[in-house]
Amino acid sequence: MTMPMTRALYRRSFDDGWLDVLTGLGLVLIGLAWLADQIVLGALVPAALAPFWTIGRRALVEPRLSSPQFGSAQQAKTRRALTGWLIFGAGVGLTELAFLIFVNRGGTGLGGVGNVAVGIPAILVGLGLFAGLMLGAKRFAAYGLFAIGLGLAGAWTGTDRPGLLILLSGVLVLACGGALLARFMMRYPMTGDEDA
Amino acid sequence: MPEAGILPEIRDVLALDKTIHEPARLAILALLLSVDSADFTWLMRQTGLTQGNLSAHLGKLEAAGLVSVEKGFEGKRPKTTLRITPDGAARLQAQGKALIRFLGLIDIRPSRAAEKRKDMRS
Repeated sequence: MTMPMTRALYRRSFDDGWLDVLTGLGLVLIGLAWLADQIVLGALVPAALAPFWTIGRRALVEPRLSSPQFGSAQQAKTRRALTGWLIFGAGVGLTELAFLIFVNRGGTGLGGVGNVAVGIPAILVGLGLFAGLMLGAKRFAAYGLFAIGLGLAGAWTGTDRPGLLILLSGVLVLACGGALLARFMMRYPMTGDEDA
Repeated sequence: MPEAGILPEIRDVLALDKTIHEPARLAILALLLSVDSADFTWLMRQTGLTQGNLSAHLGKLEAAGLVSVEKGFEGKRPKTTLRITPDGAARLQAQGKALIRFLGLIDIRPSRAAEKRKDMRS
């Protein structure tokens, strides 16, 4: 059980935008990999970007704002949330793989059911973005809704490029993350040596 | 007026610890109570206090045994780690309870239902 102030501070510790930048960049790279028919490369993107979470926090966030040590209850909650997100992400990956097999077996034309199926990756990405709520980052629900909307729009318009839908979702998240990060960096300039 | 005639809530509020009750120090203690430990920069950002002002308040809190201050280095940068002491936590909570009892007399305290709803939203 954590205190309301701990939860509020914890939520605010994700308001710098770095999480959004990494998530958006990941989606853009995955989308580009799909567009280039290099889907395996896209699957490697989350693992390739993961180390940059800590690198970016240390380089951009901590010298400006620093960060407290949250208690063990909050850390356990974070571990559970991140584990849930990873499991969900793996589920999304497997479903997308099944989708690919389905599309490949049906040939390159995506008529009939394929028209609906082409929006599924973006819809799954949208559902995955909702996982940001586990960290208290409510804007991720808006990102998720946008990605789901794009998936539905893609299915409705009959696009045959699911990668483009993921790319567009990523561009939105990246742009919002960039704006948040820029605002954070302007609001909190680098600190000099501290003195208590 | 004999002390027996004073309402206990008023007696308690008159006896509030002024070291804790000062707004900036109250905020510092509340922030430190909600985390395991924090450093000087984080506390400065969270309170909006200047470096000198925060140092002065921390000095008073440390002298009163409410906060522990540990100086060290992170790489080449000096780093001051701050924690609320068990005594500080107990005194802050006691002070909070006294204030809540007092404010309850003038209907300022939010209802339990409203508190619960607010907590659930967060």
